[in-house]
Amino acid sequence: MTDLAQSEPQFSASTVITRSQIAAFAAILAFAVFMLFIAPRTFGLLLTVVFGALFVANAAFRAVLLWIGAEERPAAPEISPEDHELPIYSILVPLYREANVMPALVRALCALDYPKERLDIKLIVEADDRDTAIVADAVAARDPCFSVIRVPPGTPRTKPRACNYAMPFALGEFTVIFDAEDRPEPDQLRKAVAAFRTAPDNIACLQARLNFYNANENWLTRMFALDYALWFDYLLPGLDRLNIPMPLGGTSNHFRTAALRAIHCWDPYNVTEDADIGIRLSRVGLRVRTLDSTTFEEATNSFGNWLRQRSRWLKGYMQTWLVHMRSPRALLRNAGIGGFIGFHLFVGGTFLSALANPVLWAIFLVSKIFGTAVFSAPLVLVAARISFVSLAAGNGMFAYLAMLGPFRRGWLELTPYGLTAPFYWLLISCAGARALWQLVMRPWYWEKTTHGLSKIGGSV
Amino acid sequence: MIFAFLPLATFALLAALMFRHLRLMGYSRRDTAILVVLACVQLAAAFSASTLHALLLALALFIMAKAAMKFSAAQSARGVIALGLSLAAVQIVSPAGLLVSVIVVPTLATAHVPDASRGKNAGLFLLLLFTPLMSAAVFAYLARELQFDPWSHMAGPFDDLIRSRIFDRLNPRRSGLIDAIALIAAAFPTWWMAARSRRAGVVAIIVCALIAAVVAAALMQRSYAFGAFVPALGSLSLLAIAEIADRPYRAIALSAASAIFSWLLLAVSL
Repeated sequence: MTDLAQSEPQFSASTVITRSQIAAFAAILAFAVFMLFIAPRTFGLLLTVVFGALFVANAAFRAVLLWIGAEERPAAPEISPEDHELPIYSILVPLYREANVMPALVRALCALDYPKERLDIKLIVEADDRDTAIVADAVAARDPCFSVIRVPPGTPRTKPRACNYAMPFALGEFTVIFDAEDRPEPDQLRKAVAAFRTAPDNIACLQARLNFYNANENWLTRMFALDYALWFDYLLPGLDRLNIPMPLGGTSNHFRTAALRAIHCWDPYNVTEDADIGIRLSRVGLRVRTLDSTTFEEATNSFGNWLRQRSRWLKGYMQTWLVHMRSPRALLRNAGIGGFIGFHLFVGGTFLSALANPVLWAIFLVSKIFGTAVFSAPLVLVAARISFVSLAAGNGMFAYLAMLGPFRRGWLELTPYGLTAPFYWLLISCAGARALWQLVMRPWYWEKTTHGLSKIGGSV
Repeated sequence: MIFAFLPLATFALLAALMFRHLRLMGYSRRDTAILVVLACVQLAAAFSASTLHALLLALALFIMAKAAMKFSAAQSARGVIALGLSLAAVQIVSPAGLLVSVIVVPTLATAHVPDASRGKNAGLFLLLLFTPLMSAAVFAYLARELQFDPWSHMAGPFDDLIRSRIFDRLNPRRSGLIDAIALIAAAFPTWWMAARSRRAGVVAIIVCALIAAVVAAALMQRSYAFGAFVPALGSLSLLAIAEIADRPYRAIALSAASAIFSWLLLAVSL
């Protein structure tokens, strides 16, 4: 279960931060403190420039990815394998306190257009989660393509640990992960098989698109849907085409099972094991592509649930960035210069933007409200202008990207909500601050997202 | 000094874009060359007005019309971005650009989305209008905070040389409303083509917006030299005329008539 941490510890988040990284951060902190005492106003200006550049660079990079990801390419000829040509397909479904959503999950999995005798569905339950286990056992007793795997107690208690435990039991040539609340499109497995069959051998993983069946429930779910539409319909295809390491989304990752085993599966210490595994695949010369099929999920519809989920994601991105920056030279060698820059802008930029945003707002408001009392007169004007321009440019681009996000799906009625993206980004900043705090205090703590709260049911 | 060559560079760029468009539409090299030369005759009217402004307006409207035609044929995120940026560019070239955007955007938003509900139309409307409105805000901010006026250096030697010696000897008559009527007449190839092709209909919408901008300026007691709009009309007419690639002689005849008529109107207006 902790295979990676033992065999390749340099790729595991079991060590949160290395000594050399501590030294580097300490040097930056010492420089900041030194500047704060020696030239506090210049330091304030420097801070504004750095944070402004980070915020705008992330938005600009996303705009470039959208442009590239939006290129309409002629569809490849559809190859639909006959039933007897289809391989055994393993489906891993990690479950923890999900008894309430199990009936809908089973319906969605049974709706998959794939021969039942070639499906190997593993319902992975924690040994002490009795309610879920009872329902899972009942399902497995009724349908032989389902089997239940009980994960013994242990730490860290995370989804990747459960999946790692189940992997030796997986029988399929291909393996996919679905979450408890997922509703994959019925032809997704067939599409994945066809894509793998025509792809070069170094394509180890296909990431299906994700979106929500309850997008129209409230403002938060709408913004979440815009976020996902942008991410999976444009940004990830953009990364794919630029050959930049792609952090996977949490579900609907289709793997060649052999390749997955070769890289020691998932890192149980990383709370976004999906993002990490995408980067690790590219570091060993394998690639991830996007799959033109959608899995619909349940968007968290309450702020508390959303905050827990988002702060876990941002914490995981911080872990992933720290892990792969233990040896920047090795990363540069593995990913190439484009991949190296793309990794920083996409993985690093995601959490750094979240952290930079409130700092820029604070600098802008302080320079406007307190003016010369805080900064010397010429610096006030410069700091105010830089922070304002960064906020306007960054938020403007984020809003525009959010508005464009649903275009491919034709969900244009969601577009006006993109104008509220600056407020959504402030919420993301709250999650970013919480993530940073947790990275220090509870780095491997997996905050559970509660599912089954939506009043809108999902059907494919 | 660099601004002295901008009109020539703009002229050359526009001619090159026209050439490429006509070739992509399937015209032979010879027919393309003739059509571009005829369009350039209309572009030359720019020298009667503020040369660079007139040529930039023609260039921006040409690019916008191409983006709009492409968008009307197939909606894509790239098409939205291209159209939004070209709408912003038109507005940078001419203050009338915002008015052009306001007319073009809702027309495209409501006319070209299949089975669109009111919510979807509103979404597309906002999406198309976002870039021009943001760029308007940026220019307003730059003008207020930094007194930034990119066009203050634009009077190049062509303005002095050609306009003062040829056009300015005649006292220009100023009437925006008469100019608007002249523009309606000069745009006859676009109207003719709009009745035959849906894509040319998109160009016609943009010509309507341009004329509306001239009328609006006239109502606000501001008018521009008629020659400032003839190049724009020329580039838009070419886009509309290019739709009959299967009848190149008719396209050439229309283009020649358009050039001659534009210059006749220009001579009368001076």
